[in-house]
Amino acid sequence: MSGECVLVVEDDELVGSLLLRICKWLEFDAVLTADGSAGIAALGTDDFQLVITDLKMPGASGIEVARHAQTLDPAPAVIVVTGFSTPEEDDEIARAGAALLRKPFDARTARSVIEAALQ
Amino acid sequence: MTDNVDRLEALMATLLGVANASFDTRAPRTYEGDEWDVLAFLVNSTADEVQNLLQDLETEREELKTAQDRLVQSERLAALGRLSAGVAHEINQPLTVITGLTDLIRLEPDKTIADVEEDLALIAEACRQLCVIADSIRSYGRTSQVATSATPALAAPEGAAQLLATVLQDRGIALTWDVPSSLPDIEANVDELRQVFINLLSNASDALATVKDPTITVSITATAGELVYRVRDNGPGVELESPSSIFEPFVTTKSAGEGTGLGLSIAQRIVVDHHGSIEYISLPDQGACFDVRIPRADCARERTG
Repeated sequence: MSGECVLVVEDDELVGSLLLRICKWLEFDAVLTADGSAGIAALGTDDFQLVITDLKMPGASGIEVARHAQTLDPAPAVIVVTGFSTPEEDDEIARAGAALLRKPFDARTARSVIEAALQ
Repeated sequence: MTDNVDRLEALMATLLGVANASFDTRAPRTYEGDEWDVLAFLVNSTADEVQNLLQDLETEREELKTAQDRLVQSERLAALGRLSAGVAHEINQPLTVITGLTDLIRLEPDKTIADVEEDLALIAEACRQLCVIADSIRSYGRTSQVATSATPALAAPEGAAQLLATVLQDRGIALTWDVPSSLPDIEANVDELRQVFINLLSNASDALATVKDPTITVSITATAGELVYRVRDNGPGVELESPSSIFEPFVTTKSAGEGTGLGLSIAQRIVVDHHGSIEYISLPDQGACFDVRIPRADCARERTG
């Protein structure tokens, strides 16, 4: 598992840096966008194998990003990162075909969620 | 004759007691059925009735007070709940960064300190954010008896404008003043009150980031008891379900890392400490508008005697 193209959508600069750093550790090529609508726009420009997105962001939510990703062919795997989500949001994330990564997480947890999502 | 004077005095003493809400005295009865005795009976029953009513009133007031206390307590607990949820959310971001990066560093033990320099810088930044959050909470939770004195009306808003002058200039924001030539002093602690205007002006300038001809207007009007400071911008305004929720801690329209959502609740606490009030005025399609009311020094001194 290396060389995959990853889109990171995260409005918190620090958490965005962490996600990029984890991608680098896993030897992925990662791109960062700072909000939901920029994330959706970026999805149209490149073939990504994986999208790691925050849940609550300006522009569009992580669920909207996941739903948009689902419409692509081939559809990239999606991981929604969140500290707090309601059971309803968890359902919506699952229905959008995305995996959930709960903050705070360590690098190993992130790796296993990413590996499972790329299976 | 003397007898009648005594009786009259007893009746008056009873009525005087009722008038003063002290019910120790009753008019003596003869039970002879004469008019004096009927009068004594009527006065005494009136005194009894008023005494009972007052006792009932007192009991009901105590019950009401208990119910009110309970309501305040539950409101406080609800606010604490919201505060805790907000704190948890704020802390979670830097915590994630620290957790993730320390784990990465431990997973790559062959790397040197120089190799992980960037990681360490990010961890340090995350720690700094945690400190800012801790400071904000401390400032929010502090209940203060502010020492106030007669203060010129413009001291606090002008002080804030001076501190923010560079920020406003860099963003091309015009700050206009609509102020009468003479204004009475207010009863204020200028350091505390300046913070209120710093928070209002910074919020306004953040809201104006994408606006054409960004302008903030500060207008001041004097009423009989207070000065009304109106801070208005021509930004997009704030859409809220309830206008007062804007002052609740951690209510923010800003993205993560841009604001803690404590600015307006701190401003509100300071204004309330000044025996004043702060209100969000919702003007459709006209940007955000806040009215801050601070007691005039002459009126404040009359009140405290």
